[in-house]
Parts: sequence; structure tokens; C-alpha cells
Amino acid sequence: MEKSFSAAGVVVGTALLGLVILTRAASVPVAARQRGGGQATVTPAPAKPVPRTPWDGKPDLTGTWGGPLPAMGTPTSEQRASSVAELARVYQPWALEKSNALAYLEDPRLHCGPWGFPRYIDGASLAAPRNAFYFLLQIVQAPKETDVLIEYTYAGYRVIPTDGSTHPKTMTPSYFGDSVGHWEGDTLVVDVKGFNGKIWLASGKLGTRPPGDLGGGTMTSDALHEVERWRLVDAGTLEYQATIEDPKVLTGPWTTPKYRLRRAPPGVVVHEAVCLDPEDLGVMKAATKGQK
Amino acid sequence: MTPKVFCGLVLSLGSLTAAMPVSAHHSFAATFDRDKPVTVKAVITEVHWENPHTLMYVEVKDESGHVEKWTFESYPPSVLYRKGLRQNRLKPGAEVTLTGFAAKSVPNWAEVSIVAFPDGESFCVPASGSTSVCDANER
Repeated sequence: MEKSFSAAGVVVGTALLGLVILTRAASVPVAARQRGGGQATVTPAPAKPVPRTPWDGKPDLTGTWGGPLPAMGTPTSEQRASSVAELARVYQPWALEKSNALAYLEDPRLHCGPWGFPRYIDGASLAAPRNAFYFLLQIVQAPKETDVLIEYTYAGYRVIPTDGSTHPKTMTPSYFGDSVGHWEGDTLVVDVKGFNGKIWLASGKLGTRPPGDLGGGTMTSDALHEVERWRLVDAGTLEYQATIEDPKVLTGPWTTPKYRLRRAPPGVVVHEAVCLDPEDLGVMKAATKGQK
Repeated sequence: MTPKVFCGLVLSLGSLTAAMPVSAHHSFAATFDRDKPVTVKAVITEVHWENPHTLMYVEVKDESGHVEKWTFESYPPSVLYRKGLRQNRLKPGAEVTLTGFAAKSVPNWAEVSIVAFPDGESFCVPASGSTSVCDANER
């Protein structure tokens, strides 16, 4: 039997196809660069909307996060220095003295110990080599908890219940503390306590050191209490800020700058990063012998 | 602004921040001497894919055939992986040219900034993350 095509059907079909092609073309983001030489300016690509979890509609922090590009608004070195200066001002005098007397090699991270929070975020949020992602954080958000996988403080992790749980009455002191989280609007607020007093708060020094002197740290105690705020600025930018209190060591609260992390490209994930007996510790010791 | 200028601006901003001393896992200045640059053509004998630093054990042969052993430290294995420098290339027997800075107090130990292969491929992989000889924003 001979097939026949309705002419009207072809016209309608072509028109529909044309419409589909046009609308798809309109929704494809265009490059944001402005060119010289008389060419037309193109409008910037719209920021991708913040992904949300289907179970509660909250922003989904799931993903791998690492060093931002310089333009993403992460704190500059001046802002970080001034934040550490602020921190120095809230240390109790005895703790300031003790912190400044700590030797370079007493830094727990040099012995494969965790950087802890907020210090790890401070490191991770430095504008990074574009394709290296030196420090990574991987977040897995689930209905009743959000898990944070930490690569470079050596295969560490944090489990943050978001089901209304409160801290247990007794907490084993730990490097990362015990976390409980709840949402305030689109911000995940995490309360952390139960620390072991072994982490340093920051990578900067609390006082000025003579040139070449790398000593000094930022001590904490087991009374450390942190309130973190995690939020998505946009689909590709994670922001972290923490307010720190430590009644044994500080006179009052200290709030970190707002750090920014970039969503890593697809396929970039945390690797196992176990650290044992660093082979270069001897070299560091030899190099820093005689200095604090 | 042309794309090239834009990219150049981003790269130069990036290298400014990459040069910040506070960015290092441990301070370059603690262990290495910027006044002792070192470049060697070597053959890799072992690679220790470890944290905090991947270590390359190499043999450097001089004109008279005398062999010296050197150790060069670089990024953690996960970072090298993401930069594309992996076990298929960085392995025993591989010929490499290593450029970096010698350690202050220990002989034949250095930080490697650039790992270059005979086919021209090279990687900017300084152990401390801060560099003066290569732009860590590039490969």
C-alpha cells in the first residue's frame, strides 16, 4: 500500500520542530565574554539555580568542593591576616603567650594530625591552582544527616545529623568534635562541641615573629564550641563561616571570614589520603633545628 | 577585553594568590632554600605515593658515570592525580628532568617544582604549593 503524507501534517510537524529548536537554542547559556572590535556584547550566562533535595527542598550541598577561582570572593590574604589579628585580640593573655611559644613542629598537621575546622576550610578556600584542587571536601547530604568527607586531613569524616538530634550527654573528645545540624532558611547551621583540645584554630600566627621564625600556633581546649554556617551562594559556590568560643582559652567569640569553595568538575572526588610517619619529618626537623 | 587578556588576568591573579606563603601545607621556607635551586636529569628508582608528600627517589648520573641518589618531594598523590601526573608516567625507570629547590640542612633532598619528561610534557607540582619557577595554575 502506498504511503501518503499529509501536506498539512508536514507543515505542522516542521513548524513544531522549528519551535522546539528555537526554544532549546534560547535556553542554552551563552558565553559571558565581551569582545572588542565592534562585535556585539553578549549577555552573561544566568547562574545555575541552587540544587535542592527532593525530601525537604533544602539546598543540596552534595558534591566535591575545593579551591575557588580568585574572582569568587574568597577572603584575600589581607582579610585573613586581619581575621587572625582579631583572633589574637580575644585570646586570654596566658593562652596567647602559650600559643606564641608553640614550636613550628608542634603543629598537629605536621604529624599527620587533622587540620580540624575551621582551619581546614581556611586552607581549602585559598584560591587554588586551577586544576589541582589541593584540599578537597566532599559532602553527601541525606534526609537525616549530612556527611562531610575530608581528604587532606587524612581520610577524615564528619557525620552531621539533621533529624533534630542533640549532642549526647557524654562525648568522647575528638579532633572534629560532635556535630548536630539544623536548617535556618537556606543555611545549614551546625553546632560542634566535644573537642579534644588538640587542634589549632588557624594557620596564621598570633603575633609578629622575627624573620625566618616559623613558631607559634593557635591553641584550643576541650571547651571549644563552634557554630558553623554552611550555605550555597549559587550552584557552584559553597560558603562557610564559623563562630568560635572557647571559655578556657578565649575571652569572647571570634567569627571567621566567609570562606568560599568551588564545586569541583565532574569526576573529581576525594581520594584515600592516609598519612603515617611522614618521611620528610626528619628533613623538616633538621631544617628547623635551633629555631622555634 | 579579549579572551586572551581575560585569561591572562585570571592566571596572574591566581599566581599572585598561589604565591602566598600561608597557602602551604607546610611552609616552603621551613625546609627548603630558595637560594639553592637545583635541576637534575635523572632516572626514577622509586616513587613513594604517600601523604603528606609524594617522594621521588632518583639517580643522577654525571658525565664520568658517577651516580648520585636524590630525593625530591612533591604534592600528595591525590593532587598529582588531579594534575594528571600519575603512576603510568611517574614510575621506576622513567627519565625525568626535575627542577626545584634543595633542602636547607639535608643533602640530596629537594622540593620539586617541575617534573619534565623527554617528550616535552611537564608538570608544575611544588610540594609546598608556593612557587617561583612555575605557575601552579598551569599544568
